[in-house]
Amino acid sequence: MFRYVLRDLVRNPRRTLASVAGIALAVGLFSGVAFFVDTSSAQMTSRAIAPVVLDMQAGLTSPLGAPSSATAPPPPTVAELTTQIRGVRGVRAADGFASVVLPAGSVRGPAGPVRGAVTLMGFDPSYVADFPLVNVVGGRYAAGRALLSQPTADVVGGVVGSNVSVTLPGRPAPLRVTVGATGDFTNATPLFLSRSPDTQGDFVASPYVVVVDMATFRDAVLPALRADASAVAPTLKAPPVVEVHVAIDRAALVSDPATALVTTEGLRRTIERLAPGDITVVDNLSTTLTGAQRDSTLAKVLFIFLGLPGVALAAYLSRYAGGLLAEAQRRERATLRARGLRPRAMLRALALNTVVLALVGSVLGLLLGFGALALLFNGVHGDGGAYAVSILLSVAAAAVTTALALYLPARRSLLSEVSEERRDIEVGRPAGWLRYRVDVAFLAAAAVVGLVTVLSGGLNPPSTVDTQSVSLSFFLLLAPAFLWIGATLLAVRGLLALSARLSRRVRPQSFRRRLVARTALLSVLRRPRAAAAGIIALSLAIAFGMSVSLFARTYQAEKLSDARFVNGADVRVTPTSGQAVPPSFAATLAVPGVRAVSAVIESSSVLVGTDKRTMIAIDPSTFPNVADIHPSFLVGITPAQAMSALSSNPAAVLVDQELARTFNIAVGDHVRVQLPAPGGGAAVPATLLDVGMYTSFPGFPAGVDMVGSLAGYTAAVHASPTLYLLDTGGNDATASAVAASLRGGPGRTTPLLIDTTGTAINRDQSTLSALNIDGLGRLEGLYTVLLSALGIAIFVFGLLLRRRQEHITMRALGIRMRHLVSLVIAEALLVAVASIVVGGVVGTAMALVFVQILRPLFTIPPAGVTVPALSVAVLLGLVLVVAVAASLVAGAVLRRTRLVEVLREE
Amino acid sequence: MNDLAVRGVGLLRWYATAAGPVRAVDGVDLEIREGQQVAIVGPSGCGKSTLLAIIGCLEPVDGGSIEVLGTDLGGLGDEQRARWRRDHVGFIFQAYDLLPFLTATENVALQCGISERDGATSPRELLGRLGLGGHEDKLPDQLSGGQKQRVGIARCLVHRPALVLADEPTGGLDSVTSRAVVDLLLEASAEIGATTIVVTHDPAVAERFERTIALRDGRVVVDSAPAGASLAAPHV
Repeated sequence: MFRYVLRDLVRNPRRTLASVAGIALAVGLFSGVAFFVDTSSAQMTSRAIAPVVLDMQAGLTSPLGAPSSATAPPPPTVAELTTQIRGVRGVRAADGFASVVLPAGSVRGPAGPVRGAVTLMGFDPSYVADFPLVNVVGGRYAAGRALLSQPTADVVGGVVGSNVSVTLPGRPAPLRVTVGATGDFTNATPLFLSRSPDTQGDFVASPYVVVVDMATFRDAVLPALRADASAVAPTLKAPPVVEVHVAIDRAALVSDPATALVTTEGLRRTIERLAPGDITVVDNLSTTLTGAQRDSTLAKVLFIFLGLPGVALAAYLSRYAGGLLAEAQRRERATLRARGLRPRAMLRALALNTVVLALVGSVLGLLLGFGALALLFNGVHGDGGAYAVSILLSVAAAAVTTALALYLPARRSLLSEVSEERRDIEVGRPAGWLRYRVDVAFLAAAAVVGLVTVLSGGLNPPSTVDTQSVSLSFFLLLAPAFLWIGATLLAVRGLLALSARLSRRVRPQSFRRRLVARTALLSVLRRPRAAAAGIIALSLAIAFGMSVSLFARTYQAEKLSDARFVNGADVRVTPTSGQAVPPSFAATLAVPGVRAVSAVIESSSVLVGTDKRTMIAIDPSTFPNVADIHPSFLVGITPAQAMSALSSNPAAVLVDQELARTFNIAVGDHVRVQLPAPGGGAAVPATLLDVGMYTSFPGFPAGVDMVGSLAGYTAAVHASPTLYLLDTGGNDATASAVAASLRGGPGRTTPLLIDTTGTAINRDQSTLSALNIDGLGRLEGLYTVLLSALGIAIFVFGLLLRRRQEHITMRALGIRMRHLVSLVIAEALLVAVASIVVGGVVGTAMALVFVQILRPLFTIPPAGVTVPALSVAVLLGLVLVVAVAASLVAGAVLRRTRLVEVLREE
Repeated sequence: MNDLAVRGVGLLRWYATAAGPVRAVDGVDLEIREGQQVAIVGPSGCGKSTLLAIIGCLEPVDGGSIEVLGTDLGGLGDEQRARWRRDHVGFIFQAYDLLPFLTATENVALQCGISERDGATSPRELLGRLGLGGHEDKLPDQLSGGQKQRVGIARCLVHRPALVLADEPTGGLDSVTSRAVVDLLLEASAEIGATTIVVTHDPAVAERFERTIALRDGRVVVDSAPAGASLAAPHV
């Protein structure tokens, strides 16, 4: 039996190849998507934790060493805690860290004192190697020596080897330290973040930093601070920070964010248990992984929903190929029956045949899946366990696909009488989907899903701009899937009706002219079922490819647009020194590549009533040059009108709709506020005029309560811009180049925080909107091309098989071979063109639905779909090319066919 | 002999089978005069259809030479053979082999399109003369077997070929229809002066022809009316 099945498969290579190709593509796509999800999850973990430079901070609750209660034992020292934490399994490095902000004038060097506040830090030289926060730019930081930030060194004249004195409150004599190195602290943002529960996360940048080793901090600084703290009127208002900074062994974290989160949370608890009550652990890694874990789950569902139609399509193609080859199989089965083979034995042979096809298809499909993955991700990176699960699922998918596409139809055919089958096929009742109106049913289902979604507010914009909290109902993704099948079938129903009408009209009396065109036209019009089946298969493939391609490109465009919204412009420059920048500073930012600069003042302490509110002041003449104010952000006013109103009246202000609701402010109302004076002086009262409302404002994704004009604000209080927005033409590469120029230019003298749209996207990686849809689009695009090529090739070779008798008869009658090949090409092109039209329209509609469904993910509502012209042209062009190429191969097969053999077959 | 339509000498054609090579036509010498109506008979597998295919330029020969209507068929390429067929031959097949998506008229007209030649009578008129009046616009599956074969005859004759070849034209027909079809074929082909060669295993059909050639195992065993004395002796 097994030998018979193998011989049958080997002797019918076309049939075997077509069936295996369908299954291999189905498994290839399924496994490709599954592997993609595995790799994406792995990337999601690594991407999410990549920006985290400080994994955990175990801070002493009593940094000055006082026990938590009179009876409690003394808290552990930093050195003890560091040693204990280093012993925890999974910890790569642990180093002590301390810092305190000293008042202006505390640090003095050969060239004079620092006139601003100074952050005195304590960490050992090993810290610099373990945490990529501080970059030593000159000298060598060693125990017993000091490390100065560049601005400090510049001010005090602290060259390597010189002495610097640090005046500490509570210590009579200044602490004298020898400068060992100078360092760059621009990447050390986490060291300056507030640890106070009230202001946690606030960035208090200081350009003036002096670092001593932990022993000096422990022996000289902390005793002084203790003395100051116990004084009647302590000089320092804020206690020092004394922590152990922990770096986790990231290589040991598994790729799946959920599992990685369990590991990091376990580590946090282990560290907390080392000194219960005496330390508080800030777990930056787990916070990030929590977002990534949720996004990973959502991503898996989204990817699978986007990938499943492709799998269904491949299965359909396999079924389609099986159907085309049914005629040949029927003849063989009839012969076997006539020779007395019992149905049970034939069923066994069929089952064995199916198993062999499924196995070969699975192996090839898995190779395809891994191949596509390696191609798209430059190798296979991911967790072996996750891949193993995906492989098992793929093999199961192969079994299901083969059973549904090949075994069950063949079994049904085997068990029914041959005469019944012939009647079914040749006399031709309309296909089941036509009789049972499957197309209408699918469209109705899509409409129901859409209606329920609209009624339940599923397509409304998100109520918050915080993308972290976005969630999607993936039930919605059924709508485009239903639309895909329903609309394709409906279009083909229309084509069938049209062909029935046309076939009654077209009655040529002569074939002397346009022999090929007339014959091909009549062939398609008078027996459209074969063409219809081909059009369905190919249209589904094209529609799927178009929708994924269009959706992926739109998604990317929207992501970029959102990143620009978050950043405010292509480049955002924030001076971090806390010092006022001179008015000429904006001009220094206009490095090559910068097309426009706009200054902004941001204040979070504007009093409205008794509430502290945030307000920004923009320059209405330059702001539109650097930022996109989307019309949907504004309520009852256009962007041009809003900017015009701010320009014409210094007191004009745009008010956030939420604030307006809270304070019952209407357009035209006067709003009395108190603006904070720079340097902590008395607040300045001001009366502003509400000229319009908005819901969002570019550059401030967390929201801002009022937007006024820079001229009006600076006239009221003499404030300097707090940030600058730069336009570089929308190109991320240019933005990065500009950022580098700024760091090397004005950034050398003024500490700057520089963000580009690229860094904004990277910062946003833990959100669902940062999904690698582009990668999935490329993966599915690759398969769509293969599926489309396979679809048209199967159609052409199926045509060759079905029409063999006719082709050979015409050849016997003397038709030219080029006419015969043209006949095959014409029929294939008719199907290809019809499929391109149907698939193109349905695919675009699907992409529109996809974009609408994912609308809540984006702050800026998508206006439509972005068409990737090249991808679409490649897909459609390839369909036409493969149609012609397959027809030419079919012509070669026809040339080799022995006419007499075929003419004798019936 | 200038009036010979077919002249074959030592014709040889063999096929590879699982049991080894089989000689389907094994050294056949043959001459058929222009306008002659010949039946080739013999049991199944004796090589009669292969011989017809060789004469009709559907199959090449593996040995010997074949000249039909003054053309040495052995020297023709694939496309030249197709051209020769459309210019000179009309075929009638046992399974009719009408194109199922074309009406009776269109099936006949298609031959004119392929041959790039219009007949003396239009396809519709020809069908009427062959007794298919009223059936011209029917598709093949709306016609009976006899009607289909008449359409086949019309298709075969519409471009007025010099050679009419029919392979078991009455194979699927009852005896009455069979007789009518043969009558029609003989009469119509005689009308255009075509040499007619029919393969049949039906003695009743064969006896209607002026000459019968019997084959067995690829060789001519009986030739009832040889075309020339020099080649008349059967190779038994």
